[in-house]
Amino acid sequence: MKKTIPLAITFLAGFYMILAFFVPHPIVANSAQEMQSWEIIIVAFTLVLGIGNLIFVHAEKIQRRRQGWFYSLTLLVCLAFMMVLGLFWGIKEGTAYYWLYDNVMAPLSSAMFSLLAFFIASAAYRAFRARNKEATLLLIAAAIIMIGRVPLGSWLWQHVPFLGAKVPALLDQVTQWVMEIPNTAGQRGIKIGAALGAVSMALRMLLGIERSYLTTGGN
Amino acid sequence: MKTFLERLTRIDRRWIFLAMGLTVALALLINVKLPMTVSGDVKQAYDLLEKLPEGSPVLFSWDYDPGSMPELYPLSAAMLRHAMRRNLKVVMMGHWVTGTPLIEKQVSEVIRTEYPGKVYGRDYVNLGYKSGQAVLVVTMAKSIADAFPQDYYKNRTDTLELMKQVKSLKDMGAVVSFSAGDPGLIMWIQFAWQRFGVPVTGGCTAVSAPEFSAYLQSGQLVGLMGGMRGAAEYEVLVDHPGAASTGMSAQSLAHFLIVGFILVGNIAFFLTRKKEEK
Amino acid sequence: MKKCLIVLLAAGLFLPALAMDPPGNLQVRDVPNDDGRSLILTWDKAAAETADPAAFKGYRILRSETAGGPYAEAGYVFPGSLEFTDNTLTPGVQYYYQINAVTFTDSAQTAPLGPVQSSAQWFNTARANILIAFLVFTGLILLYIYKARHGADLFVRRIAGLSAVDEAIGRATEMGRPILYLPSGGLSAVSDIQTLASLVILGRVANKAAEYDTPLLVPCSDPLVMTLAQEIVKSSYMNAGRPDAYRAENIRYLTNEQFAYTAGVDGMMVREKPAANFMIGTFYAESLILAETGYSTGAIQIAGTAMITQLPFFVAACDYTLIGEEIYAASAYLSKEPVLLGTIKAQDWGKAAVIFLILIGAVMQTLALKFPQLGFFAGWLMPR
Repeated sequence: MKKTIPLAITFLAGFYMILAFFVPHPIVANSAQEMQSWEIIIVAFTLVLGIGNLIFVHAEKIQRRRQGWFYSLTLLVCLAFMMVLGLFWGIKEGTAYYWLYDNVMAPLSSAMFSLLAFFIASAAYRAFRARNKEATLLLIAAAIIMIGRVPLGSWLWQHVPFLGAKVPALLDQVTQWVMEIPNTAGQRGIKIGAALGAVSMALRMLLGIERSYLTTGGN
Repeated sequence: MKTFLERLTRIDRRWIFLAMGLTVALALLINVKLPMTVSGDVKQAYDLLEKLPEGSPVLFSWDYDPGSMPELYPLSAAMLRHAMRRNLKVVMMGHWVTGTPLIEKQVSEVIRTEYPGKVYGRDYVNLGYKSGQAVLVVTMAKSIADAFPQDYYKNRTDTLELMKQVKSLKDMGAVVSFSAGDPGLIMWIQFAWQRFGVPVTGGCTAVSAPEFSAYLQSGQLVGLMGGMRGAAEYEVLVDHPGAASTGMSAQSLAHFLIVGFILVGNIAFFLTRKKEEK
Repeated sequence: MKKCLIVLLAAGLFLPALAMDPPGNLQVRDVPNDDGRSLILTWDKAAAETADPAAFKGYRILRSETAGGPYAEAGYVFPGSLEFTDNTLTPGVQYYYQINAVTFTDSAQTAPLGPVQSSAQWFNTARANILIAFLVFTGLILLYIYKARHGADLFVRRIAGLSAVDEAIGRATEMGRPILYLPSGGLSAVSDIQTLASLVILGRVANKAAEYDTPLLVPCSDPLVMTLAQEIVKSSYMNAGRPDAYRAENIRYLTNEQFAYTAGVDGMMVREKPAANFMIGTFYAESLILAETGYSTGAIQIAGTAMITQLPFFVAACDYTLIGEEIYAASAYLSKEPVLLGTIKAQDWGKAAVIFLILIGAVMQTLALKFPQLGFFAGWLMPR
């Protein structure tokens, strides 16, 4: 019973949404739209669930003075502080919330993202070795794209004696060719396979064949 | 010699980080202006806004958060500037809750500062954030006022002059999404274009740009600005060099540095292998 | 002479009004394949718009339920467009329309058109192609499930990344360090099919972790994913007969802010030094930041995603990478359950069918350059 009811709900709700995709009549469309509105509401409420978990986990850490409890305290204080600022004084330009957003959160997030530049450099240095024919091909393509996608690359190419002067747009053209033809073709292959995989996964869930996500663990 | 080569094949990554940091910082400080060529994809997106009749409504969606600001903020500024210059009516919104204040920031920096004559509610509207993603887009196609009963400043949406004329997503001349992931550009293509026939364009982070080439080729996406390079090209087109153009020299040098590291790594790799073979 | 002047003056006064013609050829039709709340109006360009585009403001669409009015504004169309979809109608109600062409100084409107009414359809014919594909695919899946139940031998190729799952868990156990499992990156949602696929794999990993008594850390960026992950891990521990070893606080919510989540997980990698990192699901720009940090801590890393742009990063920085559809095949592969394997077989046939359709489409599109009537096929294939 514990498993049958969730499976029945999954089956009915899932196939009803599929039906709504093909039937535009209001009798079906409106009820499906209504169900989607429920989803918005439920998703909004889950945030409470998340924050509840966050507070619970970190409060326990502080209470038991586990290693790093001071960071948990910082987290909870910041969470409460931002929430109070936003709730009572608003989030428009000129408020304290906005100032903190602009001067603390934005630079911190950008800094995290900018790590990517460093990690791309170290990963490329480590992984791009011409070990065999395929790896060499990959390496050449990567180098062309990296040089061809920046203005300095185009500019330098135009100053290559003979070749650069003769066909100044060659580098741009090759870059574009690599991006548009082999790259797109490979991507499409993976995309089609993944899409079919996703559909089959969804059908397995709707039909109740795949039920390991329903808390049955390994069986 | 062998030890040097071996060391070269296994440089401590902190040296690589240091070299990268110094290169980017130096390039930003010196700021050499490099000539930019405008790619076809960016021109296509520019033309979409350029060819809309004056006064047409367009939807700008801020689908990123501060993390992707360096790449997408200059682009949204350039495109907003373009729309204002062309007297298009801009309806703004965002799918990422932490990105919503960025709309306010942009309105303040571009519209209020450079176009003080533009009136809120008549020339532009900021709807703010709403959860719901694809469901929200479908609701907007039925009625924007249903999807957003209030705007960012808590005005009733249906009382705003512009929103009296623009009632549905389908009324938009174009949808422009500044997208760092999902919900973002792909969702707009799937819903705004595929289901409701509104042309979609926009920008994405450089990392995700290759993903869109299939959509560009099939015509489901009208032009694309990939990363900072795309933004810099757009700045060239609107003739207003900004943060993206400044960043291009840093990006150029960073790319060359990575290629340089790959070269060094490979030379060392081959030399050590040859020695071992001997 | 005086009379002449008055006539001229009067003519001058009325001239603009006389010059303004209403737009011609107003037509209304029902929007096909909809819920019956819309009609499309089309008309020809007003002469005033062609004559002086700068002075032309647009078209006002007026609607009434009776021919005589009163007419209320139903919408407004900016210059350049000659079409309006009125999507605020009640099905079955009769409406009358007028179009009012407006300049800065004047306006002119058409005679009322009607009565017209919108109607709802029971089937969206534009999606017939998708319905056919759906039915064929579902049929294939059911057929192979039937075959599998009746003892057909189904072969699935070896997937290195999945075969390495046990090895990774074993290594963490030997080293006495935890396992880190990310069911998608900083922007995950429970409605995302990749996240669900990842949660299925989490169940298997949790089972083994419970057996070996190795701590399992699951930081989540979505509260619902967290709840589901907690349930899955808990029941895996129960199945393994180790309910006492289950720690709810190890499966926790961090934040749904992409890079804050990345920072949080990076911190866990550096502080707790997990010996095995699983990163399976939807990932965006955080993929390499996570994978490189994991690499620097010396963990064995198994990644998997259908996000094409992130695959190269995972391939470069992880030991094993599940590519695209492999993450969806994982549960069948790991359980070796015949019914699940049957669905993988059906998937293969589905792929063969898609390849076949692409080939036919490409041939017909190429031929359509010479015989345009063949172009319909590619058009029909396009999803709407």
